Amino acid sequence: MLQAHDSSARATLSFTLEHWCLWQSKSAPIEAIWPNGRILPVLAGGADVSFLPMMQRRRLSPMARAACAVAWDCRETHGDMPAVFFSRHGESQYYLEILSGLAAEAGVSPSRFSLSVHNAIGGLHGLHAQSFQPYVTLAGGDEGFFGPFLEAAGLLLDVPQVLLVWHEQVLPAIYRAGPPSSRGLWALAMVLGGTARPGPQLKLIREATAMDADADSDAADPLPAMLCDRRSGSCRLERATWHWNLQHA
Amino acid sequence: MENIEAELKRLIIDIFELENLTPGEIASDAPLFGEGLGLDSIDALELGVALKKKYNIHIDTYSSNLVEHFASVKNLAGFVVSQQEQ
Repeated sequence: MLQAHDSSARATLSFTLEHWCLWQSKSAPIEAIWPNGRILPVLAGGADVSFLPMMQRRRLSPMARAACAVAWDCRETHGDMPAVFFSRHGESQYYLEILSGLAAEAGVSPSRFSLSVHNAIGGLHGLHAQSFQPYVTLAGGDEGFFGPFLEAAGLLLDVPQVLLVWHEQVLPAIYRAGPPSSRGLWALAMVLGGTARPGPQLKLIREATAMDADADSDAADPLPAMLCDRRSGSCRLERATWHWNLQHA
Repeated sequence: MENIEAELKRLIIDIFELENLTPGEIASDAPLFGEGLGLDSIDALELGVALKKKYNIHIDTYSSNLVEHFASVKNLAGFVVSQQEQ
């Protein structure tokens, strides 16, 4: 649900968090997590995608494996639905490899090129899951990882559930002087529904002009809050501050 | 010719990351695309790039015989040898 309180200053997004699934490369003891979720195990070869035939598995990068594993878990429990994929920088190792090859006047690998485009992971997952639902893939922007929630709120005006899939990895060293990089490889999927559905209620409040001195400085990573069962927080971005809270009986 | 076929099988396994498959499991006359090994059109492009790089051969993408050349490892080996002789 999307509710605008003022034309420019404040808007609220409200969802039911029906299910979530996380895979992250760094396993650590976790005592309390958000409700309605599960964490997939870390295996030697990365995320387990043995549910896919070998000819489908072979093209998946470590990040794509993680994204497909968590998305698959959500679709298995909640069926097919429209999806919003999000990654700030995507398959950075692939486009660096392509650019480096071009700089050295070498040829471009067609498969690497096809997998480097930002919507490749969402597209592959749609094929694997034989989904006939629409999907969109977003890159990083001014709203950080709140951007896909805006997209999901829009989709929920027409459908009862939306799958949100987030995937990040560490940027290659050559890029690290620039944008902030994820601290590890991870993928997170959420099944979001409208507020009339039963389950934990996730509320996101965007304040366009707020400058909250107490807001978190780290807006790039939602995992710490989820993995210690913190139920509220704030993230200050360039153009807005987002406040969030999770309420569950 | 058998050496080239063995090289091509290894090349196919490596570039397509066909985990759990050995060169011995790829029959020289089995179809590479569709119902055979199951490669697809992106793989065909990738294979063409790899062949050019490894054997320094020219591949005429407008050739009407291209589908036949790429149909199996055996056909590919014959195509590579014929191009090297030119």
